[in-house]
Amino acid sequence: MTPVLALVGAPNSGKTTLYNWLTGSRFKTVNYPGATVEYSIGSVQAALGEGLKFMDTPGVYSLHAKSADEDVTVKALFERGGEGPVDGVIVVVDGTQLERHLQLVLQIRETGFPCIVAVTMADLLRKENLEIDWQGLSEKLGMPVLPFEGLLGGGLKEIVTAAASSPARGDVRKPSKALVPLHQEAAALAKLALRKTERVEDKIRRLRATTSRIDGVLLHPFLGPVLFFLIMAFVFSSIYWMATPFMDAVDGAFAALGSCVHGLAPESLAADFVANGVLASFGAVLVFVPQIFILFVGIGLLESTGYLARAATLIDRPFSKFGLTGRSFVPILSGFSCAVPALIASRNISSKRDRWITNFVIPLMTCSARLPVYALLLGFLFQSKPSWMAGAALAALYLGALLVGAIAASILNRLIPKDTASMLLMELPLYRRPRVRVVLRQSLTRTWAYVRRAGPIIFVIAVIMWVGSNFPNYRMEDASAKLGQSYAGRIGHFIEPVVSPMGVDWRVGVGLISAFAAREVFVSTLAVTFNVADAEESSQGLLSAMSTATRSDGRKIFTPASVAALLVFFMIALQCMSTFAVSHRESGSFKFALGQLVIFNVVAYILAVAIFQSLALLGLG
Amino acid sequence: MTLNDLPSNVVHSLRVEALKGADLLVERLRELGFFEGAELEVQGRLPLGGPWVVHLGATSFALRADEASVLHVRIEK
Repeated sequence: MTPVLALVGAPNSGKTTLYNWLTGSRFKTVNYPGATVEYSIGSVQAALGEGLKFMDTPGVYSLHAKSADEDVTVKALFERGGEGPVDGVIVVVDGTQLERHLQLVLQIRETGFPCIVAVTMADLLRKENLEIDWQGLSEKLGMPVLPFEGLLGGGLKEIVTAAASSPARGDVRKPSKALVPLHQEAAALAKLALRKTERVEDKIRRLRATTSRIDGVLLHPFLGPVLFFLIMAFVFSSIYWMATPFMDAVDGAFAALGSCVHGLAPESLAADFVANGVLASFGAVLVFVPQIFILFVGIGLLESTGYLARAATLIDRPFSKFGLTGRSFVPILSGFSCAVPALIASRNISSKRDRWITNFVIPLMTCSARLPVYALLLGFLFQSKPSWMAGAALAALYLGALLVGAIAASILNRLIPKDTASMLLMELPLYRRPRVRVVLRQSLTRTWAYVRRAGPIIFVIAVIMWVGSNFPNYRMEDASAKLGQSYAGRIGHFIEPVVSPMGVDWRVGVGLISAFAAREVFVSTLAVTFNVADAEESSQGLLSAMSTATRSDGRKIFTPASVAALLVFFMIALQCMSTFAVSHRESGSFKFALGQLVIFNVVAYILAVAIFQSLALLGLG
Repeated sequence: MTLNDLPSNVVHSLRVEALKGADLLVERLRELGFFEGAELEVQGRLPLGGPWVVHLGATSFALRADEASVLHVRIEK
């Protein structure tokens, strides 16, 4: 069997960067301690050799796991999903923190794994004219010690050569000793390796001089929170104003394509299906892809600079009032792109209780699938108003999600008894210049993944909706009668009593049901059910169709009251089955996941009805 | 004297004298390098009883008040 070597090291020591170079993969590398929460195995790149596999693992400070992500690493080392221990370990050590990180090397050496040490950040040391005594350290530790340079991959060949000639593994055992007794030895080794003197200590401290100066501003008691608020406001508002030209372009392209197809064969069933079924559905959702891309770029830039660890620090005190911790910040922030990775990211939270509360509120965050829905409804609400108003309303929805999350967290905080100590203990990494090209590439990959995930669902629902709303009376002249008697119409009338208290008719009801396949499908479903009568496909067309749509009694469907009710419904409802599945897996409790699903949907419905009814009383219906 | 007993608006250079508190916290702090004899520098503290920001060698940490209370320190300068 191909030997597997695990990359193990402290958080943010550069394991994932080394893993990417070794295997040619493009896993996300981020300047945040605790960014990797799952192990992955890959074969060595063909250019470097063959017959070797490497495993990337979540960062650990020691083999005594204190959080779910550290537990993943220890289990991966000793069990590897039931396949037995790995064949060797490459301990990844930050050269600027030898004293601390060598403790882990010593602890792993005691387990009996054949080890290699890869030292990162040696280039930073060189800037201060410091060179590690590679030979001496290697002899003292009794294992190869090699430099690795993350930016250009320097030292890769030597690491692979050492890995290939790594001795066969004997028996391994879990460490009995805590790190404590190893500290003296680690400190002595570090001193030797850097020929440490007072002057060397000063030089090492100088490495964080720039970072300390920046932190003097960004973590300033008063400026810090203000800047935090401004940075977040900038990132989230840019979703709106930066995306507009790109959205117009996508919109225009789909409109042109639609009328082109329709023009080819105006009377044919196939052209009608392609233009009004498929293209209308895809156009309605894909128009929001630029916004999603910009959101990913914004979060990516924050991740790569090192600011997220500071943001977690700044938010810790306010969050602790709701039973959360600063460590909840990154999972919650990633919940604004998608709840699924966010629920997994929270493994980095050491207290189980904190993690439960965090995972409970994550599905409330405004994920990218909600964005198309919000954008359509806000676009409708502020049709002829200046664009900043829609932007402000979007910001209010984002803040609203946080507010509802805070309420949900405080309720849970009262209900769950306190058990283990809640911890922050956040390492603040050195600031790094964001690597814009890498961030753009990663955002593109993530956006493409979003499109690929949503694409098939949109297509299937588009087919179902188009067939459902055009048949059995495809040739009927009266469009509204045709829709009313269609399959979708019959189902819709059946559920109408449930949705009419929210002020909407059965067509929106069908949209709400289809949104359980994926939230964004709500938009494409509306595009089909409200656009059957005319050949326009663009969302502009959908907006005008929405403004003239009436209920059977002649009243308008989309009024400020009903749109507000829909917005609140989407803000709270948990309509995503992947979220439900991952929440179940991560909590290990079906009751937790089911409770989440039921509570959020029931509360969303009740609030939506209450909002429509009270706004209607005020005359906004 | 623990870290929490210090005024937060002065930059201090400190030495850790002892770690006292919950076993889990003490162990984690040691793993992070907060040993008896370790030298710390305090950058400051976030408002309303927020976390401390301290430097240890080439890196920095944010410590909550409960975490800072484990660190018994002596002022060096």
